[in-house]
Amino acid sequence: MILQEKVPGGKLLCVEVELSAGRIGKIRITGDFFLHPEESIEAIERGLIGSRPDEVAAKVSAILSRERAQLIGAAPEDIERLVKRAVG
Amino acid sequence: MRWRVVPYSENDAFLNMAIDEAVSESVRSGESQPTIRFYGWSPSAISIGYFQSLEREVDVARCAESGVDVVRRRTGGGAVFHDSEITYSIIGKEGLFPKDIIASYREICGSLIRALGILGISAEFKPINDIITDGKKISGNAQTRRGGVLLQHGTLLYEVDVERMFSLLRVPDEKIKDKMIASVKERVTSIRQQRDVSREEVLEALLKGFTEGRDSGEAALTEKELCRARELAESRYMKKEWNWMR
Repeated sequence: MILQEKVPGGKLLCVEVELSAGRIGKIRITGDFFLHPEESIEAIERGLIGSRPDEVAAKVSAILSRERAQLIGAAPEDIERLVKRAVG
Repeated sequence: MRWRVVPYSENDAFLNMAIDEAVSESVRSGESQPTIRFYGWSPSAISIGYFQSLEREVDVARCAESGVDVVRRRTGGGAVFHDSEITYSIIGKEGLFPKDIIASYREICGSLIRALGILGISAEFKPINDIITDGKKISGNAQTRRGGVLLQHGTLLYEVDVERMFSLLRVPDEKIKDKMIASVKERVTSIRQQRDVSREEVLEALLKGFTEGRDSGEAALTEKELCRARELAESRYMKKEWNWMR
């Protein structure tokens, strides 16, 4: 399921997600946001596999700290909200 | 700190993006001075942001028919139709710019705002990465920081053909395409819509805007940078694996 949203005060965020037994089996995050360093997007997508939708924001925040990455124009909570709406 | 200014030149999309990366490498190694570069795109091209889906953003078949190149940038942000616009890039070690990302956009965009001021166009920075005049967007900018080097590139719209742009971009819902075109026309402007000035005058103003307060001198790209750029164009920017990555 794909869902996209213009984050208020931010950028366009698009989440394509598939659940398997209530957990994320596949996820792709696209849009016109910024993330430094850019390659961290792969760590985020990989790191979310196996998570429940309500764990997404905390997981993304933890990965951003671990990767010393900065997300601009969207927040971990925005990703979680879109995931929940996409699968809800 | 002395800055190198690389005068305006036109290249294809792949080489343009590769040059920005090759210069970032030579600035990082200390072989080149921090660099300000002005460029155009020949043929016209669409560049998409690092995180965008090529399939969902661009009508690739239509671009091919129209002779428009398509390339993925190393920077985030949105899709840009490089047709009648002028692109700049500014590349230097991170220490030359504010650490805060929005503050660094604001500072660099200040050079463009000065250039627009010289042309008699009053503009302001609109976070995160836009410059607006009269409430409408006239410039979009995108930044990356890798290996201690900051690269920001951006576009200054000289003229804008929204219909042509939308004939090459995909929209989420074809039924509302006309509405979207009308809405973009409301929100986007160009230098020519504001002032009757030539491209040469714009380039001159950009040069002044970017070099004011900076010790700078004009110089070409080095042979090594050009050679590396050709290599990167072939090994990355022309590759399906890169452009269709998302």
